[in-house]
Amino acid sequence: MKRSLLAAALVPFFAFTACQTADVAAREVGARPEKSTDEAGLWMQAGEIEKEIKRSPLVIKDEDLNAYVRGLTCKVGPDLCNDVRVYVVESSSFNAFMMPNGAMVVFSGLMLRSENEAQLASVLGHEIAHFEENHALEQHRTLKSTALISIMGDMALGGLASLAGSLSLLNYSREHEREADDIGFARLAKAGYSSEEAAKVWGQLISEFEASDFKRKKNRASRSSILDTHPAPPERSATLAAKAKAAPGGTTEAEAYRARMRPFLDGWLDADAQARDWGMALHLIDRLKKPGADLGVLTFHKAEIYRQRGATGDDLKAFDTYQAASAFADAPARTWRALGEAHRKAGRNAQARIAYTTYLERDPSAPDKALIEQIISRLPKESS
Amino acid sequence: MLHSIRNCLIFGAIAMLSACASAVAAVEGPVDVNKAYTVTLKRPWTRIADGADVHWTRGDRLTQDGESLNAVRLIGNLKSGDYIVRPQRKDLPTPTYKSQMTELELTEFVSDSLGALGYEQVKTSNVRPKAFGRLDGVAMDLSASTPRGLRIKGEARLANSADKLNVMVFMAPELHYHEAYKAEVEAIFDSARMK
Repeated sequence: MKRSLLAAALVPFFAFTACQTADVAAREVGARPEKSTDEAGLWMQAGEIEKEIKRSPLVIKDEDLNAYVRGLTCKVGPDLCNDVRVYVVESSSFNAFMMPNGAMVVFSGLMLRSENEAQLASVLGHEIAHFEENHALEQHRTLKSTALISIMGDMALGGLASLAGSLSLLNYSREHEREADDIGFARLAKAGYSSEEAAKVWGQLISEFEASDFKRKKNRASRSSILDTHPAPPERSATLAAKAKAAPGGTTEAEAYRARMRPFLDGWLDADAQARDWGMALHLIDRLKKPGADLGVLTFHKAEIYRQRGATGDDLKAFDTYQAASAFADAPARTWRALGEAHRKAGRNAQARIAYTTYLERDPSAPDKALIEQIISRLPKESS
Repeated sequence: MLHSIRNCLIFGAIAMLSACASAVAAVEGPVDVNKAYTVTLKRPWTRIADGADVHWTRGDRLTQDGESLNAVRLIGNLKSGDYIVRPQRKDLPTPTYKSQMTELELTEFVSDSLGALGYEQVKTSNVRPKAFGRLDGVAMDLSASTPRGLRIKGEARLANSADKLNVMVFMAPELHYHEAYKAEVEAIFDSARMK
């Protein structure tokens, strides 16, 4: 209700800003703002946020992954490659954002959900377009001219205090988002990627939200509100799909992409499950399983969702799915710990002992080794 | 990112509520925890009583220097279906305790609850058998960070008793505070006596 009231109060401002969008020329390569300009002020704020991001434990330090994402950024934005700095962060949301000073933050949730290089590149191209077109500065001047800057400024003060809050500086208009979609699409095609993938990213996101356990999230799949500056996903998906028909061809680099993400898949799926939206989590895993790679990890995590959801019949589903996971070479060692737990709960002590022992053989430095050893030692000797 | 924003809001709310909570008092000696067990404090600690904020549905919190610098959380008699951290919204559910959980699932319940409270990257290690009063319990080491990036270390002990869960958690910044209070908190945990 409060959100509705706020939205109603802001309607006149947004209606006004729609007619008053400031227009700033596109960025020149290597350009830095003149001192004592409003742009220099924006860069200073962004610089403070960037310092926080650098210090954040959420930043993924892995050199190979960073080099890969940076390489993709330069592939879709070769002209601005030296002006953009990329930070890959551990966060399960589907998101990426570009700050006015060229610092781009890419979320692990986006990389988990992208099926191939072209899909991730399409989002990177979109973010580069925000930087290229100086959208942050345009938005800043638009808001300033309508007194809305005071509202946004209050939000930004909080935002400067944390990585999370930095998003409040980046509420681009729908016009900006559409322009970034157009430019990003052109950059994707120019880099030789299949432009169809830009639309698929949004189609996938819509399907995932539709699979949510919660009505509020299901509604997000098709609706955008006055406070949601991005065009609604169905609109974006349809627009980009129509453009792709006129520009066929290009590569997706699906296998290369999956290979790069493989070392992180297990941990990212753990993080994704923290949202406890089992409908969305199952939908994501089923989609990621379709190409037929990483089946041990993905099947294990599907079993984990059944176990944690705990609905009627989920115990059996979880057990069967852990069993299925154990047949794949890439199944995590935790698969056997979970099988041990399931056998023990069912009183199948001999099978439980074998599974727990297999777990410790596969992960000799398991963080719960001492507890598992006690559990094994306390299992009744007679087999069921 | 939404998760991080929620975490920041939760941390802010806890800070505000903690500051003005009326159920704050200095305690020493034996302290009752939800009529499930007692712990003994050898010097005064500030106690923020059960229900002083909306996030921890059960138990008391003890601190010497403020909860962001050292926090001992004591929870007793948690029933099946109870939360440690109450959900802020229907579509942001938090872990619930189930009486049939195994020891390993209990450790997961506690670490996931800390994540729901606002800690980032909660990791458990050295999960081991450890007495909780007269009960067979489990102990584990914890590491995490705050949304602002402060590295946190801690320990937890937990044990089931007649289908009810008892938990003690210590969390403090890795820098100085964890090491400074670790031995004293361990003695508090060791002093647990079931009722």
